[in-house]
Amino acid sequence: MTNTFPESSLSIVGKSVKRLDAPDKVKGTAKYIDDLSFTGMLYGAVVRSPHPHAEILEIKIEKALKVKGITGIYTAKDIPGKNIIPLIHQDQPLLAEKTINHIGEGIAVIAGESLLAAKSALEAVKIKYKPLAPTLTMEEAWEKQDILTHWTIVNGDVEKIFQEPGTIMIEDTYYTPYQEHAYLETNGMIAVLDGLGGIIVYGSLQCPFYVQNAVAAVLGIPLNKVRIIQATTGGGFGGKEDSPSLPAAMAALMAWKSGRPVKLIFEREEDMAVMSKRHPARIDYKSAVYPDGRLAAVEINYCLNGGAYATLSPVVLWRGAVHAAGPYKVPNVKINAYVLKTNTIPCGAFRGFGEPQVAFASESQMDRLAEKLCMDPLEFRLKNILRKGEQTITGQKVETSMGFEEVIEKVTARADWHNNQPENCTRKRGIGIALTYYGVGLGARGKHLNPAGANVVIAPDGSVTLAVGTTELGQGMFTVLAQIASETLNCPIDLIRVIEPDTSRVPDSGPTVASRTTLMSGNAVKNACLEIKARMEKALSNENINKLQFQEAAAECIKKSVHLAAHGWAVPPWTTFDEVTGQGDTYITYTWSATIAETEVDMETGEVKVIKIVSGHDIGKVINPQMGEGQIEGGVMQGVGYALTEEHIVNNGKILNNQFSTYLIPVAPDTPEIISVIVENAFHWGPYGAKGLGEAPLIGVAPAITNSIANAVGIRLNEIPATPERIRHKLQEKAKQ
Amino acid sequence: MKIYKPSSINEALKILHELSGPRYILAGGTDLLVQAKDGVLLKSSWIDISGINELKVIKEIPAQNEKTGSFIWIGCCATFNDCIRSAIIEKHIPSLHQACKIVGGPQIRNMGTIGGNIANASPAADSVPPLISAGAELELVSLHGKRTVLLEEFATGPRKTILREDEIILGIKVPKDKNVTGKFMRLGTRTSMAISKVSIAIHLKNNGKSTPEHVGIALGSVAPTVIRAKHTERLFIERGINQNTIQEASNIIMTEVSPINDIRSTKEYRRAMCGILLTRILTSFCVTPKP
Amino acid sequence: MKPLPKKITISITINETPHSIIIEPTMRLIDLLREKLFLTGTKEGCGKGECGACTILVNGKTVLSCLMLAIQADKAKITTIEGLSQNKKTDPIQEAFIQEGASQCGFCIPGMIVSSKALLHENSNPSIEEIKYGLGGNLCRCTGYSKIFKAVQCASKTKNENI
Repeated sequence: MTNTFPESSLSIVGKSVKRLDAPDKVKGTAKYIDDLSFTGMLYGAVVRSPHPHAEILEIKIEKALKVKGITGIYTAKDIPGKNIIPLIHQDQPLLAEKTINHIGEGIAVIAGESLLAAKSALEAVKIKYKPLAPTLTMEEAWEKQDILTHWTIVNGDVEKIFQEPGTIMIEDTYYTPYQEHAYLETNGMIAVLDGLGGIIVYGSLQCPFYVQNAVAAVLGIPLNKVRIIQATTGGGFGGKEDSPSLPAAMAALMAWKSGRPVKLIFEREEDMAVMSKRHPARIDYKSAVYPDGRLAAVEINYCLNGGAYATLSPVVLWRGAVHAAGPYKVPNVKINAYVLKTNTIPCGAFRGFGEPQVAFASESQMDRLAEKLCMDPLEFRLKNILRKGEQTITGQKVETSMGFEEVIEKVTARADWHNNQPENCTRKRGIGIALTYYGVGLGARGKHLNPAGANVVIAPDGSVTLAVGTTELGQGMFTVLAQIASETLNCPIDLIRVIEPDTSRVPDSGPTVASRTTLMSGNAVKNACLEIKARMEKALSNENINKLQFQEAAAECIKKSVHLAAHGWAVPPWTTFDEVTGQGDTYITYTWSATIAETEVDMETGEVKVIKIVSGHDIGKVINPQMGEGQIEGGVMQGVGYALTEEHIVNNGKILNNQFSTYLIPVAPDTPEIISVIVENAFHWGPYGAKGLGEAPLIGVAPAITNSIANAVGIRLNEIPATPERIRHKLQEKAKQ
Repeated sequence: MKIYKPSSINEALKILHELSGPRYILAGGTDLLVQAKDGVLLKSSWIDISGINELKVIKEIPAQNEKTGSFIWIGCCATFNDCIRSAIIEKHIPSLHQACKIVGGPQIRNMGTIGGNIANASPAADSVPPLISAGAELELVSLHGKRTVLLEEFATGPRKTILREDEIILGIKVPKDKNVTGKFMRLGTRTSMAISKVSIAIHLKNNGKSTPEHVGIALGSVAPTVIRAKHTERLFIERGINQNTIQEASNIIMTEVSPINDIRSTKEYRRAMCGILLTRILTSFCVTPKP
Repeated sequence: MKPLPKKITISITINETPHSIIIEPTMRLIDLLREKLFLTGTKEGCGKGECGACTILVNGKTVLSCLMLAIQADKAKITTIEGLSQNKKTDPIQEAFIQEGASQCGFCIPGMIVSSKALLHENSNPSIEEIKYGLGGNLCRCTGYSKIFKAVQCASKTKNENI
């Protein structure tokens, strides 16, 4: 089997084709949800709980109904179907009925003739509560054993290794904060009755089929009466994976009850205060190495604060647990992973999906082990990385698309790892590395959602329409899929249009997550195109197809009544996971990554300036290099924020910094030099050899930065973000020793 | 909410005089519209003075007599960007010039006014430490007449000032001196669009002697209002600026502040940074003395 | 003196077209653009002047249209993102954003391009540091800013070549 497809055979895959959606986005003509409106449209607002945990004794809406412009106020009692957002545990209501489980939980929705009217009625809804004692921290939840999910991965015998004389051990507890998606567009939906007994919901969303399930369940109608259409979406990063079901079902409820279109857009403060986030984590991590530098054992207790409801936490945790030992061969492992239930905001999906938290811990451990062994951190890692044919901690042999060593080689060369010398003055320079890997697609725990479909139709004029069930979030799906179709059909890309994702066009194609879109929708598109192409070739065999332009060929086929439409369906190779031992072939393939950060630390103020980040990934095949770089640069900057400035401050279950002036994401002047490295070690099942990229670039950034801080000034942070306050505190502790 | 749009200062003062109930001056809007979105200003009256051009002037006012000396006048509606573009400010109040360059982002600098920054009375207002360190006074005006107050005495707490409800800040007067240098430094969590967690401004007047003629040191975000570090100033006036006094002053200054823990930083960090930033600024003066 | 009446007429030139519009004096400038004139290219990301998505030009200067009342723009000349590509011809900055792949989700891009326009107007050949400073008031969560810097550099080159 060849490792790469011969470049010469590809005409458009692998080229930096300009984004198909760019002209509208730069001209301001792209239509986001708040740019749409419908005749007779009402505006919605949500009454939310001020308590983290309480019993609802009474809801009085009479006074609020009299506020000018209010057309209706709806509570749990008005829900015609089930009061449930159907996800993994079926535990989250759309509107709280008897019990409040977190601050900001929705209790009633108000529809009004204007946004101002709807908002001004919020205060007039009078609710009597009986406050209950809340569980606010992971420690309290652990005490009470309020556990939503538990996974175990066991292999070998860690206790034996830890007792062996001569092994070198490092043990610490690591903490990571909430991270906010901070998409520039907040959540928003418009629900419209279709006049045929059904409902259409337009919105800013990542996973139309999740939303479809939620709306159908809440309204108590079959799925074929609910159509979800994605509007141009202003960023997601996982934040519009599970949580848009809430605003969608709320808007749908109001539209269903009132008979009029309803727009519900969350304000920034509301969105930040109550919508999902990256889980805060506590990771107890114990590692042992043999004196020669081989990893001997790791024991990990990995806890996530799930918040009040399970959402996607069980699978976020699962991915984190499977990747918890890093991309290394570790003969003895014992991992216990838990999602704890608290009366705080439910957390959910976020780029990296449970890995960034544990990667911070595991890659800090790797650096500290190297330090203790007096080895170069890179040399130590190279001694332990997974190489072709070796086994992950779940016993999966990694055989295909293994460009890990090439990634590390190229990244260290671009970062000038071996010549980087720290300077000596008030500001000290340091360099740090992190190696990570990312299982592409949903893996063994989400495999029922893994297939994806595509419909390809060629019109009589030769123009091609693609319909898929995954979404464009800015990552570039429209362009990548058009490139794949263009390559496969041998048709100019200008003739191809990808229509807005719509649940009525294709079968349930799973969510747009897990860096699976290029792989899954790409394969579905390719399969459909191959089918059409075969028919065209058969029909035109006498006329030498190569002489005809695509449009002429299509016209000829139409004349001959050739069926120029096809449905593609992609089902990934099977994966496995044994729930007792935690062993199995968990993912179909992995993206292999290396991140090197160069930073400058101010010894007096504790400020960190990131000078340079080199971020390299084996992604099988890059369909569009420019957009691939865009994914890397964006992921890196989210990682820089995670490492240095981003965290939510929580008091009594309430998020105190819920706006862009208090939750601080990186600004333009904070941007370091970012060098992207893409390695192509083809994945045989991927479309043109492609794997996935979206999430990988974020994962290694925080540990690479904290490792570079350690390299610069000799302090180890077991907690991110690495704020000047924390760094200075550590520096002073060190000075006292 | 009622909105008034006077076309002259006098009209604005008349409106303020006649109004009852909560009233706010609208200039750059960068604080007022934010508070309005939070719903705290419902049922108030707004007086939009952003269209009154004479309030935007920055100029030098020559001495009326020997006692008063000459000064720099900054109209209350001069924006941060107006100050950045002003050669007068750059030359005579360099610390203000530097502070204006790092406030918010370009759009905020185009909109936000110095008068608004002062009136909002945030301890983190970046234009205030430079002005206080330079000995600025405010000219407050109402239908009853004008009064002049020291800027350092204007704010009495976060969002609290001595401004009467019928008054507006007409402008800021900064004594114009020869041989002045100044510098502003701040720490924020990110490079732009950040609210300072500690800031310091120093205004220095040298007459060629071993001790400076005037030292103004003001600090932001380390007390309920922007404050002057008077003990620290006195030390330099009495004993000059040198390695020894800088060392000593960096300890004294930490006793002059009363920072708090909040979502941006901790009191310990803020206190420590006062000493470090002071040392950094003064060391930079020692290394590159200005004429 | 009386407060402004419940309805007031303002004259305003938007993207070179003069308008005379009746509004409520409390209306924000962003709402006038989006809701009255259907110029939805200007985006609201926070409503508090903290993200820069609503950036427009008022008399040639960048401002945040969420922090301005429409009456404050009476008699002003306004340019929105729509004004940069009139008659279907894109501005060289917009072209550069397309060429360099500088947009992803695109929500921040109208504001980012308007800020870039003002930046290049003041400084036709900015350094990378000057570009970073000039875009310091516009948040982007997708791109990591790097391709945006490149686009501005590229637009500045085209601009200078055309002179």
